[in-house]
Order: sequence, then C-alpha cells, then structure tokens
Amino acid sequence: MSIDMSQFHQVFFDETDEHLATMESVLLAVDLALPDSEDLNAIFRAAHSIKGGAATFGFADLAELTHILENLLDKVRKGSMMLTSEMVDACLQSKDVLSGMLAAHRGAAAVDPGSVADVEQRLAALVGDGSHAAAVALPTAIAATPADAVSSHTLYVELDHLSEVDYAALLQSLSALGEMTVVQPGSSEQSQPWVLVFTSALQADEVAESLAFSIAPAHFRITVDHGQQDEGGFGLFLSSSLEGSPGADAPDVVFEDDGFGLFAPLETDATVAASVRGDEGFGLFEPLPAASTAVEMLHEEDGFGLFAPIAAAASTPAAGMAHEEEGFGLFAPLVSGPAPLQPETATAAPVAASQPVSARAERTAPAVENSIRVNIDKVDLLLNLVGELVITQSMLVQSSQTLDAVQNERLLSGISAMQRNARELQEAVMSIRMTPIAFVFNRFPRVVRDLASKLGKQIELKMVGENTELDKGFIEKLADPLTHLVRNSLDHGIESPEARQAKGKSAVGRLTLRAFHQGGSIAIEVTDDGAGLNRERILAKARERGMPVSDSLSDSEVWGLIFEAGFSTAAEVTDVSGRGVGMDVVKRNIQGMGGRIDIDSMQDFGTTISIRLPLTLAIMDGMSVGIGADIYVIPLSFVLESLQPQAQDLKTVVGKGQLVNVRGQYLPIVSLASFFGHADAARADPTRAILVIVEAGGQQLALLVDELIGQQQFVVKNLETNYRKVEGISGATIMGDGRVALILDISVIARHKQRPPPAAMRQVVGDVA
Amino acid sequence: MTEQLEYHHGQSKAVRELLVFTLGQEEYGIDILKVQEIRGYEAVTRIANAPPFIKGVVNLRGSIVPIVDMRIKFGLGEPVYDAFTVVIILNIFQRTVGVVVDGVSDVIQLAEDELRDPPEFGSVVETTYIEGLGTKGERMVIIVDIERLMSSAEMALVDVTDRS
Repeated sequence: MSIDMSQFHQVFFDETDEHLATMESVLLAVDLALPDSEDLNAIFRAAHSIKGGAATFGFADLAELTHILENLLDKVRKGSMMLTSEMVDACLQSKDVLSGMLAAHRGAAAVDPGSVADVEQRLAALVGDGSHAAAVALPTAIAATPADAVSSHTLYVELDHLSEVDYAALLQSLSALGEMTVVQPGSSEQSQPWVLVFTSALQADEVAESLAFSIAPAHFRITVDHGQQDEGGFGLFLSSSLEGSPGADAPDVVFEDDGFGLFAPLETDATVAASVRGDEGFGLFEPLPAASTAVEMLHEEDGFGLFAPIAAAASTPAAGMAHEEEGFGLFAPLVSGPAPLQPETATAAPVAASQPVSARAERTAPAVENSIRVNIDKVDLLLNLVGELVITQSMLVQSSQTLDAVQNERLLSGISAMQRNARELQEAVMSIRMTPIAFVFNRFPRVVRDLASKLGKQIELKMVGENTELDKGFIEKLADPLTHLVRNSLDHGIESPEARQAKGKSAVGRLTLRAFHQGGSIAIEVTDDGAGLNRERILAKARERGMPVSDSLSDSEVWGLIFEAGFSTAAEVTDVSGRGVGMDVVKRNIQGMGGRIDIDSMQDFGTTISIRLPLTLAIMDGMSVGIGADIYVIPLSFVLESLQPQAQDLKTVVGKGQLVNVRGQYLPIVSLASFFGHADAARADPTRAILVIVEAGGQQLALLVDELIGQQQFVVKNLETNYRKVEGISGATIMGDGRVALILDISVIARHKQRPPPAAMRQVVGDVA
Repeated sequence: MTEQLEYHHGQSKAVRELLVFTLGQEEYGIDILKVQEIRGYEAVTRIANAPPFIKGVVNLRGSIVPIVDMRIKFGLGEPVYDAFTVVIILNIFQRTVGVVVDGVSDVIQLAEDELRDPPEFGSVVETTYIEGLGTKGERMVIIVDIERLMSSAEMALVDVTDRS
C-alpha cells in the first residue's frame, strides 16, 4: 500500500519555513571574523534537514538547491573554507529562492528558473573554490593537494582489525603516499588494532580521508606527532595509545588533567570547534576504563552506535558524516589531536547524519518549548465556547443572587467556584492565542541588512522585548505596517554616513525596535537616531497640497500630517519608498486593529513612531452605558472620565452645537441617542444625563448617555461575520444576560461628531436605490 | 439525502425538499439545506441606521446574528411578536441570518413536474427572488431563492463591497 505523502506536506512546509527562518537569522547574526561553530552547525543542520525532507517528499528542486548549499556549508563548518560575506550573501539569496520554491509548492506562482540557476551557479562557484572538493575523489589525488605540503608530518595511525578489510592493499596504498612502518600488526583474536607510523607531507585529515575509503572512520584513529613542540603529556598518552591495550587508563587520566593543553598547538580552525565539542565527550569519556570499549559505549550513548555498525559494514562516506557529527568530541581526546582527524567527505549522506543532528539539536536547545501546531480556527472555536461559558456563568451568578444564602449555601459556593474556574479557563484559552512579537521582529535583521546595503547606509539594528506576547491576530497584521515604518526610518530617517559624521554623529545609524506592555496595551516603538522630521518641509508640502495649515500648529499636529493620504516627505522617490503603501495605510491598518499610532520627533536627534495596541482582539475592557433601553459599550481605553454636568457649564454655539466646560476646556457634546437615531431615547437635558469624556484622534469630546452601567471585560464579537459594517460600531459583545450590546467605534464617532438626521435617512434610501 | 429521496420516489434527482413557512395567508418554501435551525423569537439588539425590516442582532450561541423580519420586508400582515413567532436560522454564503416568519407549517418534497414557472406581474410585484411555484394538490407554495434575496442590495445585510 502506498502512502499518500501529500498529507504530510503541510508539516514539511511548516518545518521548512522554520528551518529557513533559523538559517536566515543565524546567517545575519554570524560573526564573519570568528564564526561560532554552533552557529555554523545550526545553518548546516537547517539546510540539511530541508534537503532530507525535500527529498523524502519528492520536491526535487528544493533538494537539489539545498544539496549545493549544504556542500558549501559543510566545508565552512569543518573549517576547510573560511566564511566570507560573499558566502553569507549567497546563502541568503538561496534562502530566498528556497522560500520561493516552497511557496510555489504551496500553490503560489512558480519561481523564476533564472534566479534558481543563478543562485545555484553562485553557490557552486563558491564550493568550487575549495581545494578540498576534489580531494576525496581519489586517494592518489591527495598527494597533489597543495595545502600545507611544505613540511612533512609524522602520524601514528591505529586501525581496528576488521575481517572484511584487505589490510595488505590498504597498507600498500598508504605506503604509496609516504613513508610507513608497521609498529604492530593487528589481529582479530585479541581485537588488537594495527599500529602504524606514517610520515608524509600529508595532513592528518588528508590521511584520514584516504583511509576512510577502505575503512570506516569509526575504526581508525590518527595521532599527530608534534615532535619537539610536544610537552611530554602527549608522549605519555601516545605511548599508552601505542600499546593498543584496551583497559589502559593512562590516556584518560592524562586527558582529564591537561588534555586541552594538547590541542593548543594545533592552529587549524577546527580546533576551536573541537575543543568546544570536546567538552561534551570529556565527561562521558573519563570514567570508562577501556579505550576501545569506551568508543563503543560512547557511540551508544550519543546515538552514534546506530551508525557505527552501518558504517562498518558499508564503509560509505555516510559513516564519515555520522562520525563527524558526534564522534568528533569523543574521539578527539581519546586518541589524537582533534582537528586533523576529520575525514573530509564532500557528499553528505542525509539519512545517516540526520539522527545525530536531531540529537544535538535537542541538547543544545532544551529551552525550545514543546509545542503543537493547532489550526487557529480551533482556537477561535474554543475561545468562543469559553466566552459562552463565561456568559452562562454570569447569568447563573445573577439569578443566584436572589436566593437565600443560607438555604442554598452549597449551590452558591459551587457557583462561585465555577466563576473562578471559568475565569481561569478563559485566561488560559486566551493565552493560547498569544505569540511572542519575535515572530514579526525576526524579519527585520534581514530587511535592515538588505536595505542598508542598498542605500549605502550603516545601520545597527537593536531589538528589545521580542518576547512580549500579543495576540496572534495582530502578529500577522503588524508585519506590513512595521516593515513600512522600518523602511521609512532607513530611507528617510537615518542619514548617509557622511552626513551623519558631518553632524558629529557616529557613522552608524541606530534603529531600535522595542515592544513592551503598557497598562492594558502593547506598545511597539520604531526609533531611529536620524535626521528627524522636517517641520518646514511638511508644512510646505501641506500647503502645496492645499491643506489648511498654519505655522502655529503644534509639532504633534504637524507630524500627524504625514498620515494624510499621499503625503510623502521624501525629497525624491527611491525604489525603497513609494511602493504604494503610505503612512496613511499604516495608520489605517493600526486603527483597524483597534490601536493607535503616534510620532515623536526631534530635528537631528531622531524619530520615534509608537504603536499602541490592545492586548488581544478578543477581549476588551469596556464601560457599558445605557441609552434609552439599549446598552452600548465604550472601550475603556478611550474613556478619560465621566461627569454629570452643571447647567452653568453647558454652552451652545449658534443655538445648536452644545459644548461643555470641563475645567476650562470646551468640549463638544455628542448625543449618542441622536447619533444612532434613537428618537425615543434622546434626552434633551444633559444636566440629567451623564457625559462620558472620551479622547480619540487627539481630540476630546463628551458623549451624552443616560446612565453608566458598569465596567467589565467584554468578549468582542465581530458584527461583520454575519452582518455588515455599521458606522460608529466596531463590534458587538454579549452581556451577562445573553443579550447583545454593541461596542462603539469612538474614533468614527469623533470624526463625524453630530450626525444630522438626514444623513441617516440618506443611507437607508441609498441602500434601497 | 438525495439518494434517499430517489429511493422513495423512484424519480429524477430534481426532487427537492423545501421548508414551508407562512406569511399571512401565503405559503413560502425555501431550500431546506439552507436551514440551520428553527427557534422562537427573542429580544433583539437594535442596530442604528438599519432598514426597518432588520430588527437587530441576537446572540446565537456566541455568534452575533442579524434578524430580518420577512413580514415587514414583504409588507404582509401586522408583525406580532409572541411565544409563537418563529425565527428560521439560515446558513447562506457562510453567514448566519435569522428570518422572522409567522409560522412554519411543514416540509414538502417537490418533484420537477410539480414546479411551475414564476408568474409575471410586470412591475407590480418584484419576482426576481421567486424561483417558481410549487403545486401540491390544492396548495401553492411560493419558492423563494433565499440566497438571492438575502444577498440583494436592498436587504442591506452585507456591505456592497463585500459582494463584488
């Protein structure tokens, strides 16, 4: 029976997305001068996993490209090639192409084959630079490799005696490469290994490479003789190693004490990696008595044992890979100087290597939380049900209040327990939707890097508070506005390095993304230390567009102008800005999420654009007010205060527009009853009603309502799911008694203020027509 | 469902099942597959600036559902809301809408040969939403294309931009 692979495709897509994201973030963070071996491994692992997955699921194009990428990364990782900025660029480019391919498999437009070929060529060219690429081809070819062929090295080689290996041929081929003496012939009876002294121009790793063709890397060990430079400890170790007797504790002890000192003289890049890894193997290695058994046991401990037998049987390069992954740290202290031991294998075997890869991933990243993927619809459904539960619960609470507390003690205590549980359940379900903002922030290192190089600017990006959690719904919607703001800062805000230096600033511009909790909302700030907004230019531009502005506008009013449609302060349109998304769209998007956006700017000092969003879309703190028989909810974030006005504080303008004097400030009064056309509820006399002072879009107004009912949390429901958008209403909620209350959209009401009754009529007529 | 019907009647696939409701003296039929449930009438929350036949919205197990009074829409009978008033909850275009009618009488199966073309009244009666007339003996059931009716611009149930 064939298995339908397509059912697993989604998992592969998701995982690959993650791998690509990891790859990108590590690539961006990597220090070219001194790359961290764990970083390099992480990039390699990501590419490797993608390749494995792609091959398994039959995405040949993905597998092909990642294979080339992997080859390059493998060399870098092993230290046989230095990481260059060119490589990072090529890797990032291939990441983009891979993302494109992945999208194509998901149903998006196909990737331009030209770009694929381009990136493949670029990678292949980089791989081709490495002299080691050809080295594996034939043992004899190694002699021709130019690397460090100047001096000759003396190596001690220990080979396990295996029945299937033709040792005569092996020794012969070795002696063809240099001077070789057999110190001790191997025999299978006492599992005595072969011990050879080998002197040639070859490095230990090159010898290992050629040996790996005949014998699995797990079954030979190469020790470098450092001659005079050696500090005695090595000699001790070496001699005991030469005895080849299993059970000799000496090497272990030596290593325990000063084994690391031995590594120091080795100057290869891989030494760093080796010593890092050596740490892990060390502790394990020490208590085990027998050298050879230790190897076996350690194999098992690290999952390597799985591969060792395969390797022994097949002698394929795959074994080399596996050996490379985990065996490194283990073997290094055991027998030899670490780096040269590396068998170089250009062709990586995915299956064999994948096991140690994942093992390592688990070990190095235990902090990664256990998670499952859940369709967001299911979470929404859960949220809905819990919301229902909360409502039912409050209904019960309401009706239980009339009961005799003594007679119904058990019922009442049950209800109060349920109340508590329901609230906790609600919070727990709500938290499922919460996602760290890092999901949005993570794209910015790349955006900033690409943009900075395109614009010829130097930018240092700092991100603070990436772990701040906010609703998943926001995460997706935030990406575009934030990207726009970041682009804006880079393009218009931060000056060119020369201009910055001329102003006495550091040539490197600083861009900070910051997220933090503030009260009941999340604040996200994009701060640059650039030129700041130019007040004169904005005002001039506004006049040019025929907007009524005066020089007396406050700074914040002037900054607000850039949110007007089609308003751009850029002196020239670059290919970065002017992509059709303006600040007006940004503002609209943010407001659509129930948030608001503010600008703070100072000439030559920088600009901060801050976005404030409610914690979640699904729950809101609100104040319920009564208007006639209807109940409306005002989002608490808009409410400043509520008051009952005195007759002397009420003023009118041309007999109609009503104003209220609140501590010297005259605020317009908006009667919600007339705004919503409830003729029966319109209360003419504000002194008998309540005024709720709200602030929206930088202006304050007084909403006239009949009564205040209370403050509580409301589960926000979308009115547009089954109905249409209603002007002045942002959504609906369900009250404790099961009835629906509408949530006011204060910013719309503030914009429209008092709506003349004919407008309401016109809308109905317009709909019919 | 369809297979069952075919089995019972041995007729073509065109057998349709309709929910019949009454508005005043008239009987109307809508495709039963569009019906989610039938409920009593409960208090609605008014929506500002909505046409009169949109009574408001109710809470249907957590979703906010608009309620349309067909009696007001068609101008039939004086709307009375009592314990016998029926609300048919419909599922159309992935939306949920409640429809207030006088009562639900029964469910009928209608074969193709029992279906008559919609009558022509000129401009006196709007017949765009009438799919046809079903005849069962003496009964005549007006078959309404409820999807077309509910999504029409004059119902103001959906935003104009939504429908495009």
